[in-house]
Amino acid sequence: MRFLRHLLAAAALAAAVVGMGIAWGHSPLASVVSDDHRRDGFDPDRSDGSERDRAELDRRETGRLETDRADGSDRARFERERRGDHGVSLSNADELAMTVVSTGVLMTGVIVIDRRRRRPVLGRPQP
Amino acid sequence: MTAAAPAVRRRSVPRATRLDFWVDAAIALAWVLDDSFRFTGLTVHEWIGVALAPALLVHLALHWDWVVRTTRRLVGTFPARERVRWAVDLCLLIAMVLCVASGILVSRSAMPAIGWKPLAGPFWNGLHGTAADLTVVLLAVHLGLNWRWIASVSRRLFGRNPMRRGATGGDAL
Repeated sequence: MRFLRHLLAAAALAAAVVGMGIAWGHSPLASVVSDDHRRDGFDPDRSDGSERDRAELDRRETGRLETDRADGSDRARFERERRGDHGVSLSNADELAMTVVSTGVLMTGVIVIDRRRRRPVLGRPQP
Repeated sequence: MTAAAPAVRRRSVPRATRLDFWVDAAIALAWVLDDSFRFTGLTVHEWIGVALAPALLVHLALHWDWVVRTTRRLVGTFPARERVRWAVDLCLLIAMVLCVASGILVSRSAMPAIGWKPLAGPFWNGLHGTAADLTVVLLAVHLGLNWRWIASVSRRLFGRNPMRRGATGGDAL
């Protein structure tokens, strides 16, 4: 019963965070994380109606690219995305290794700093 | 070594601590795996993300006492290290929840499979990526700050001499 109460409290806290996220999405600050800025040089108001621009407009509206509309770098990106769609790929284990190593390095750094801070200084009276 | 020895060792770690340890280990492993998108592929990536949502809630519920106790103590005198830990955990909570929620909202494989129409858009896509990047960093810091508890429980679970080095039924979040 106690665990259930805690679970409900945790769910309420998580819901509050999601609510904050939704509010953020509707605020002018949404552009801070929006991935629009990662695609420089595209202005929907100045679109020339090319296949590439139509593909980009489609991506912005639906969040995905239509493969038959994509060309050039968009097609390459689409192909990359599609390759990631077929399940676990052992040939891409290097990405997993990279994540493990970077997490491990950062964690080790925190542990080293933490241990140094905890170590008592010799000769100084401890409170 | 007799068959009774491992049983004695396991009993020396309280059940709640053991549950805590395995839930935490599963979340950390799942998150590292899920962050390797090209390795898992889209479908596995999304289903792991969906499974992480209840796992995170269980983790938070298991440590709810710590959350309440520490939050109350923040107003008084409180060690700087605990304040840092609390701040890191709060940021991690926000980043993880936003990452999982935005992942579900922009899902292209898992959610459509159960009839959910994804709410796509540049904000949620961008938020998902940003929150995921932040989470991996904060997760590493979180694990580093709680390393003593992790090492202590690990020693008691897998170590050779569990009676010498005691682990508390820890409250690490």
